[in-house]
Amino acid sequence: MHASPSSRPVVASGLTKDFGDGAGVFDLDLEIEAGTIMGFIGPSGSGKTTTVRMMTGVTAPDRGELTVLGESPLSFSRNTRARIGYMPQHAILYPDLTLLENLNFAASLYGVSYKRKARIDELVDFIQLEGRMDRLPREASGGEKKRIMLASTFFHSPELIFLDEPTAGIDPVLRRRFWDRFRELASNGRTLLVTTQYVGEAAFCDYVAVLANGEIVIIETPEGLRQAAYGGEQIEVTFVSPPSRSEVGQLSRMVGVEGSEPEWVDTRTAHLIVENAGAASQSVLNWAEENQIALEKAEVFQPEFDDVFVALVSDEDGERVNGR
Amino acid sequence: MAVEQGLRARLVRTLGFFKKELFSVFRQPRLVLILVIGPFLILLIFGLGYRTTPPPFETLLVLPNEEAQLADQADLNEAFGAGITFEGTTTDLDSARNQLRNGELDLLIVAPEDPLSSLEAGEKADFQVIHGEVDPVVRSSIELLARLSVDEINRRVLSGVVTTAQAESEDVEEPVTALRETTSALVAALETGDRSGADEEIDELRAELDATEQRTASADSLYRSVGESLGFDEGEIFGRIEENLQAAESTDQDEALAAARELEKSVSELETSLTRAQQLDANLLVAPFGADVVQVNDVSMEPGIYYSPGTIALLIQHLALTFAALSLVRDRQLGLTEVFRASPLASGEALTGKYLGFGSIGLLVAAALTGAMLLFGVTVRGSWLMYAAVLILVIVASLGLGFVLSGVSKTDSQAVQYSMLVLLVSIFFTGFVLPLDQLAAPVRVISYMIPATYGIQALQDLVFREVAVDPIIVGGLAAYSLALMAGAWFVVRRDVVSVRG
Repeated sequence: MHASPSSRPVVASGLTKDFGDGAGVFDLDLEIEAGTIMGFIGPSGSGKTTTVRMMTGVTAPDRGELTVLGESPLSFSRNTRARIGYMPQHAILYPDLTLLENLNFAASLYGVSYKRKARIDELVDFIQLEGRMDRLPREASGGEKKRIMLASTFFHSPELIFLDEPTAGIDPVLRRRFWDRFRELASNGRTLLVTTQYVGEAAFCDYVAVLANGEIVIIETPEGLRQAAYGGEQIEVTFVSPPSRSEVGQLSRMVGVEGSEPEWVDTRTAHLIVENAGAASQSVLNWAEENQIALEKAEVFQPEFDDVFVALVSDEDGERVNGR
Repeated sequence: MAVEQGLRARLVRTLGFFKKELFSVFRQPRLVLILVIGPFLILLIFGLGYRTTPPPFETLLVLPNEEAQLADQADLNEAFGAGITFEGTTTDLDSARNQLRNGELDLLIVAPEDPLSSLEAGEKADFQVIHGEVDPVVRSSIELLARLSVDEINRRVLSGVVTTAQAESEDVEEPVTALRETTSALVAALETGDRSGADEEIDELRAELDATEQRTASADSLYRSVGESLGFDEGEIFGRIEENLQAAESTDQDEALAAARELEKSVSELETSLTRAQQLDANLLVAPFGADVVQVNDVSMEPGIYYSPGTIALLIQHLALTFAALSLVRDRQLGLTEVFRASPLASGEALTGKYLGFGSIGLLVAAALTGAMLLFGVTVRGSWLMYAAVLILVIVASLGLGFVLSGVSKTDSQAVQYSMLVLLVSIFFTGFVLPLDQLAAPVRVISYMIPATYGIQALQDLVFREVAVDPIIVGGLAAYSLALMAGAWFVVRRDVVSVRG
């Protein structure tokens, strides 16, 4: 498939960077659509940062093909680099410059004109550091430094943004604010690749690539991830009192639920994997009513992404897949 | 429009680095103080505390026996000048050697055992100078001092001989007067045609000439050697008198008269010559020439003054080099190179910004140091424009060297080590302390790899000599600055901007 750079800003095929001893990124195939957020989720050492570094032209791959905005990152033109924003994993600030001076320096790197006051005010408001920009980095918390890095990345309004763990060390309220901003940027046509160790943040992405041991386990929409992890959608059924053996048998044989072995969370609550969670939950409610069974609830269940992630990267024995 | 925007963006990036480096330095006043004030104070204390002349050597004169006194102690002290303090004389060489070993004495001067025998055997009678010094500079001083001291002893001995000769030559006055009177009588006899009278006068003249030559024999060799040096030759006059006498015996009347008149002139010349020799100062005769050292400028050459231009060049180099080396290493250590590589930054922009930033700081410090130099009363005699140009070139070359060194430094402590190493090399190889001419030509290659070498030479010319700076020095420094700039560009491109494999 040959997609145009405008519709597919990032296209990777067989991308490999081998650091030896199983470390690196291996045979990565990936396409990112314009105006979307691609989340890279995986544990530490899974290859997220290496992938981002290859895509930003910081590190050269060993093998494979990679085009970013239509160019190989190894030979990015200045104009192309100017269209990209990159926030490294760790906060990198000059210790002798204030937070504001660091932000200004980052703007200078991208040639942003000196008429920047309004833009600075806007970004400082976004990262909620008004009145605290005259401090040196050693006087700021790790989260505050991250916020400066994020503002620096956005300063020149890039159209393709790589954010390497931007929410690490950020409080939940501000994290949510960040993701709102990311969504807003995506809706304005910007493309974002965001790596994170917070699996729950997958919900904010349009697509999520799950990485383990340098390989992509799956690329899916957040909902698609859940289905892929458990083999279908899930419903949660809670009885008023622990059900009898015959009631459990009937539940397992119901239309739309058949074939799914209930997974009992406790004596009254079970999760069932179904093809269509909405229809199945309605069927269960109907069955309970017809058979005078006291049900507390039967509804669509969305498992936590942490569980989804564990399910995706583990095989039946609980071992990680793709182990090297 | 796009081109204009591109140029503006380049300028913004360059100025971004310029401001960043300025702020970074000004936020570390202690670093600037350590880098500038520290070495400045060390050199200032050195300049104020250093004495150009070493302390006098405490010396014992070892004589072969008690009777062999050359002179009294005060006279010897005067003879050897400020370089030596005589502690006395002894005849016990072993004991004197022990004193030397124990550090109670600096020098032993051992007089020759039997100088007369040596002279009679046609050999020099050597004074032996014994010392225990290991410092090669002090050893050179001792060797020079020994030569000067022996020269002084020789002079004094010669002066004594000349004085004796002069006293003896006073006896010549009478026979020379007789010689003159008899010559006049010979001329008178020949003028009147009295041939037999003339022959008698010639016989008498021969006897008087022998007597005169015998009287002057003891001082003759001295007069011969000294006289020749001063432009007259007494031996030649005696020879001429002899020839004139022979010619006066001629049977030809006119020829004999002419020879007699010539004889009269020669005798008169001899008389004048002997009178002059008697009147000359014996000390002048044995050491007729002195040395009057004149300095073409009126600059005081106290160490503090002399080292000031060199100190400026050295400090400026050290400051610029350290800042440049630390800057790139710090960028790498902080991880900023990752941000740079992902950005549209070009090596030239980063490098130009850094050159401008650190260059401005270097110029500020150079101006402050120059101000301090002016306060000490040292002015720039040459062109101020050239002075500024040399300082700028030293700064640019030093920054380049610093950037190149950062290419081989993994950590900031390594960068500081390299910087200190260059400072150490600079003290020995740049002409700051030891003259460049004293370094072997191949070693001087190292000298010309250090920017301060060019700076010290050029600044000393500009400050002290009021002469145009050698264009080879300025041109060489400019060329070296460009070469280092190319090296710096390579390092920045490789380490800061290029994609890593």
